[in-house]
Amino acid sequence: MKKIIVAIILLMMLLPVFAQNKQYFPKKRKSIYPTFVRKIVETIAPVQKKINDKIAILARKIKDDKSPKTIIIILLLSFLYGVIHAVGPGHGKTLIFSYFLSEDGSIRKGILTGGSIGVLHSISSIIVVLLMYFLLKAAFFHSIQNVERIIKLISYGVIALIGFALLVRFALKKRSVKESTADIEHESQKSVLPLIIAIGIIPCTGGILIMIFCVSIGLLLLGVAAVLSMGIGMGLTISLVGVATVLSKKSALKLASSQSKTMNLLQKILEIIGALFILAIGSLLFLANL
Amino acid sequence: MKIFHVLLKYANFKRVIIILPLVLLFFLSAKLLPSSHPHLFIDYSAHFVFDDAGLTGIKVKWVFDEFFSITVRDDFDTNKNSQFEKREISEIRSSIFKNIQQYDCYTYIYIDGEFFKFKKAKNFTAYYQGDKVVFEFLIPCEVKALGKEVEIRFFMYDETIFVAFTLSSVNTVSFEGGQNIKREYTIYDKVSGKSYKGQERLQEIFVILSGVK
Repeated sequence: MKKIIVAIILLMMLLPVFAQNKQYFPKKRKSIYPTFVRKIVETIAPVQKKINDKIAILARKIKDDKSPKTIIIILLLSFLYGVIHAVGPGHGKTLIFSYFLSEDGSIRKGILTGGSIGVLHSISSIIVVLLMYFLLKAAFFHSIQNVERIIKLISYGVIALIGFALLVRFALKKRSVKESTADIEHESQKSVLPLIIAIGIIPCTGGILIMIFCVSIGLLLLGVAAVLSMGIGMGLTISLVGVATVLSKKSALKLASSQSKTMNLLQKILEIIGALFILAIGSLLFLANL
Repeated sequence: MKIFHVLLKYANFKRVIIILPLVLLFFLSAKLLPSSHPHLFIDYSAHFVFDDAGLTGIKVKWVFDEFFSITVRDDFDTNKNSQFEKREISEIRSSIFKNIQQYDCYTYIYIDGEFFKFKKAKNFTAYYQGDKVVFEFLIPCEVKALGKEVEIRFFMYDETIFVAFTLSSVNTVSFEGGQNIKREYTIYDKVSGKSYKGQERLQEIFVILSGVK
């Protein structure tokens, strides 16, 4: 595990070398959202904007008055910003949903998975900005966008592979093998880790912007704390998706449990659909970002 | 090849047969690409420019949020004097604005209900308003309004949800030139409850022009 983390950090350090093109806005692509998603986004955007403005004003204020009260307010606002930010559409939640559809899960696992993704997402933004800042002596947003694109490609590729691996495992699974519950729980705990890393490693653009802002006005530590707090907020929302999926899957299976054949079939169908979702989202995002 | 043999040996073919068509179906049908939620916030206002025959263009003003503003300052205000010189503006134009152009500046214009595709935004400039960065540009939009009534619907929207637009609360709509052209505008805002049938976005600008021949 330690080796993987070191390798990822080294890879990130090399990334600025590739960051040559100036790309401020994401690559043009057509994206069609269902109306209800657009409505949710449009409704929450003004709230996000207000919080965003407030954090900026308070952070500037801190430069003169270093009151702990203002710092706490900033951290709380960042947390709230994270909670709301994660409500908008993003592949993380869809993947968590797909994963728990396919795999067995518990409420604890749902919370841990969502929380870890949110926090890792924010840690990644902090690392990217700090590296760029100390390597290039400036946090060039366009370079960061390029770095983000490369990390995304790696992440989406890995996600597609995870989906594929889940499908292969399903196809190879022997029917009669009986494992103890503890074994299953242990194995499933381990199996979610690659997915957490693959999703969480993508730096959050919102976090990057807060980080650049704080570094630029000379408040690096505040930036780190605010972005982490935002990550915990995002983790809360993503966890809710995980827990909701686990609970609804459980109740669906319970309904079908009177007929063990139906239940078995339903479980298999959910397993395939979930794995397929992961494979499809990973591949499509990979291709879209090439 | 060994992997292939192992797969053949252990694969449960019934399951494989179920999976394959589903995989194909997914690749063919999944057109929905999840994208980022809004990361950037822009307050916009519209300045309608007229001549004696009607509308000639819409000058748009974008005020960016402070977070994005600081990245523009860091990247382009090279001498950090809190103003953009000609060279710096031209740098912004060739990088950020060029990116924005590929999205048709996120601009939607409907003339008498018909979608209007404009050629290319021009007269780009950038400046500071306090700590916030402002972009201004002109969208060429020629609409003759002599002897008739024309209805213009205008709003900005990013369908990839990277940018979130909100109408500015000050000087949202203004007019310039063409005194003989009668114009009336309404801001439809679903948030504050003022909306009309057919409104797609939360906020839209609606202008009615009529010119006396």
